[in-house]
Amino acid sequence: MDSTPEDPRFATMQGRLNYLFETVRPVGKNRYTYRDVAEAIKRDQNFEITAAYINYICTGKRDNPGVEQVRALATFFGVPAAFLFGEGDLSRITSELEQLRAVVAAREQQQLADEAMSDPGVRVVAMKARGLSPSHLQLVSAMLDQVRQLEGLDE
Amino acid sequence: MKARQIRRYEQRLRDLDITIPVPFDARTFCAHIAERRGRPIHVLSLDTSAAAAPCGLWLATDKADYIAVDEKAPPVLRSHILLHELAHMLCDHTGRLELDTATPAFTILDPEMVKRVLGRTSRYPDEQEREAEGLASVFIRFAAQRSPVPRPRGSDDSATAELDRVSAALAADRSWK
Repeated sequence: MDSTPEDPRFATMQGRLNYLFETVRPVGKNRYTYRDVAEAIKRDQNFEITAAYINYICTGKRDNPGVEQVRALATFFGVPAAFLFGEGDLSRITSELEQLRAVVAAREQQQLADEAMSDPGVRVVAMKARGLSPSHLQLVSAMLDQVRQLEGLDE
Repeated sequence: MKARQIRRYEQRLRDLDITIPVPFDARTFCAHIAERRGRPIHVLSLDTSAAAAPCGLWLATDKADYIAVDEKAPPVLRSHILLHELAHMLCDHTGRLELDTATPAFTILDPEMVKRVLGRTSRYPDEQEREAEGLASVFIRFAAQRSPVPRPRGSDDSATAELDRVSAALAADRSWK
C-alpha cells in the first residue's frame, strides 16, 4: 500500500503500465490480456495498437513508446496520461488506484460469501450487519455447520 | 426515528397479529412468531468474537428458521440482535450476505473505468437493515405501551433503557458491523 512516487514500481514506464494491468482488472479475472486491450483501444478510441507493442512495453523491451500509444493506453485504463509518463505528482492518482484495488479485493470476498451461501438448502439469509468482513465469513460457515447438523444433512 | 415512522412500524406489528408477551421477553416473542408462521425457529449461539462487533444472522431452510446470536454479547444486546433478525423475518426480507464495499468518490480515475472494474452493485440491503432496525425497536416500545400491568420490575426497566441506548447507537452508526 506504500504507493509513494518514490515507489520503485513507478520508476519506469514498464512498472507503471504493469501496475495498471494489476489494478484495473476485468471483473472476475486476473488481468486484461494484451489482445483485450488492443481490441478495446481499436473499438473505443479508433486507434491502432498491436498486442505485441503493449507486450513490449510491459516486458521492458520497449522503454520509449510513442506518445499516441501511451495516451491510448492511459485512456483505456482510465488514468491521466501523465501517470504513465511519470510526470508530476503521482501520489494522488496512485492513492485512488489503491482505493480501487481495495474495493476490488472486498468484492472478491463478496464472491466467497455468495459461494458459502449458495448451499441449496438455504433460502434466505439476513445479517445484523451493514457489511460483512472476512471474519464474518467464518461465522457463516460455522453456522451452516450447525444448521446441517440440526437438519441431519450430513448423514 | 420520527413519530410517523414509529406509527408505521407499530401498524405493521398490529397487522402481523402476533401476541406480544408482557412483560416483554424476546425468547417468548420468538416462540409466538414461530407458532404464527407455522415454522420452527431455532436460536443458535455463535462465538462471534472474531468479528469486529457482535452480530446476528438469520438463515431459512425449507424446514426451519435459524437465528444465530453472539453468545458473548451482553444479554440486552443479544435480545436486540434476536429481535432485529426476527424483524428481517417478519418483513420477508430476502437478503444475501453483503460486504460493506462503499465505493470511494474518485476524482481522477475515469468513472467509466471504475464502473467497468467494479461491475454491478446492489443497494437494497441498506434499506432492509434500516427497516429491520426500525421494526425491532418498535417491538420493545410497543410491548411497553400495550402492557396492562404496571411497568416491569426495576431491573427490567434498566434493561429496557439499555436496549434503547444500544438500539439508538446501532441505528445511528451506519458503519456498524
